[in-house]
Amino acid sequence: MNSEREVQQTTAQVIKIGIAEGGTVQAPNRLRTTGLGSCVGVVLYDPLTCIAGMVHVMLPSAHSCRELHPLHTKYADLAVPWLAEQVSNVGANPHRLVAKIAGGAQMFVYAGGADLMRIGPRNVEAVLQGLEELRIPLVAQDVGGKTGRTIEFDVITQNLWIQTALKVPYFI
Amino acid sequence: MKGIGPQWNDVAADVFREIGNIGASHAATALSVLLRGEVRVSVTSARIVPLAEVATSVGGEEQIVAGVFIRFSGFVRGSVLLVLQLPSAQQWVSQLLGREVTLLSMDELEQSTLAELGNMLSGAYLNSLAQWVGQQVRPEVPGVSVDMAGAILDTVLSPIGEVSNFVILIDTTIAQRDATLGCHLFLLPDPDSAELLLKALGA
Repeated sequence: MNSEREVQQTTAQVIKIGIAEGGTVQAPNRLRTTGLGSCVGVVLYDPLTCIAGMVHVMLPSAHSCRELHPLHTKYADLAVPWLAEQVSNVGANPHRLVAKIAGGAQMFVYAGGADLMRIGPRNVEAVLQGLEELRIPLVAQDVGGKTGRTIEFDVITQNLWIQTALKVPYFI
Repeated sequence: MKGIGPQWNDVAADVFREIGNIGASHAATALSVLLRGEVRVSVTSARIVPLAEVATSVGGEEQIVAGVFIRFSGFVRGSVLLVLQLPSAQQWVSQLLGREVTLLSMDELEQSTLAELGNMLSGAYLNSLAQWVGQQVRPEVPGVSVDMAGAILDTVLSPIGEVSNFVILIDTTIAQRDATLGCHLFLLPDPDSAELLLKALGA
C-alpha cells in the first residue's frame, strides 16, 4: 500500500486548462489545453523554480466587450498580467519569467478570400503586446497557420509539446 | 443575462425543431437531386446547448471533424456552423466527386465540394427559418475546416462568447440507401440579433 501511494505521489499530474481558463503548476506536473483554434495558449514560467502557468485566451481585448465584469482569463490584455501575478504568487520570480505561446490560427478556408474576422492574428498581437508591456521575453512561439493545436507544457524540460490533426507531435 | 438566455429553453426548442423539420425536407429534396437517389433527412433533436457543453455534443474537443461556417445577414445576423463526423464528410465528398478522398489534406476541389454541401444544407435550414418569420435571410460565402472539434468551435464561438452563453443545436440524420450519416447544425445568432429573432419567432 505504501509503495503504491508513493508511486501515485511521484507521478506527474496533467492539469487541464479549459477555454478561457488559467492555472499554475509546479514540477513535475504538466499543463495542458486542447483544441486551440483562433485562441492562444500562453505559458509563463520561471526556469529556476520550475513553476509555470498557462492561460487559454479567446479574444484580444476586454475594452470592446460588453461584460460588466470581464473574465481575466478570457481576454489577452487582461490574461497576460493576470497570469504573471498568479505564477508570482505561488513562488515564481517575476523578473525571471519567460514565455512560450501557441495558437492563433485562422481555421476556416474561404473560396472568396480572407477571413474577415481575423481573430487568431489579433489574439497573437494582443498577447505579444501584453508580454512586451511586462518585459517578459518570448522564448518560443508556434502561431498562425490554418490548423488547430493541443498543447502540453512540461516544466522540467521546459518543452511546449504541440499536437495537430496532421503532423507528428513536436515541441518548441 | 443578455443574449440567448435560459428563457429560450422552454419555447424556442420546439420552434427550432419545427423549423428544423421543414429545413430537413428542403435539404432532402436538394440532396436527392445532387446524389441521384432518394435521400431522407430527419431531425433527431433540436435543443439549446450551453457553450461549455458544445464540444461534448459533437464527440469531444480532440475529435477530428469537418466544419462548414456560414455567416448570414438580413432581418437578423448570425452564423451557421455545420459539423460532420469525418467519415460522413468523406463519404459525401467522395460520392459527389466520384473518387475516394482523404479530407485531412484537402485540395481546392474537395474544399469547395465540402463548402457547397454545407451551403446547401444550411441554406435549407436558413430558408426554413426565413419562411417561418416571413423575412429574408442572406447567407454569405462558406468557410471550411477539417480539424479538431475544439479548435473549430473555439474559433466560431469566441466572437459570440462575449455576450451569449447558449447556442441552438439541430441534430440531423441523413439516410441514403443503407448509409446513415449524422450531422450537427449550430445556429448562432449575433448577440444583437438574438432578442429580435426570439420575438420574430413568437417564442
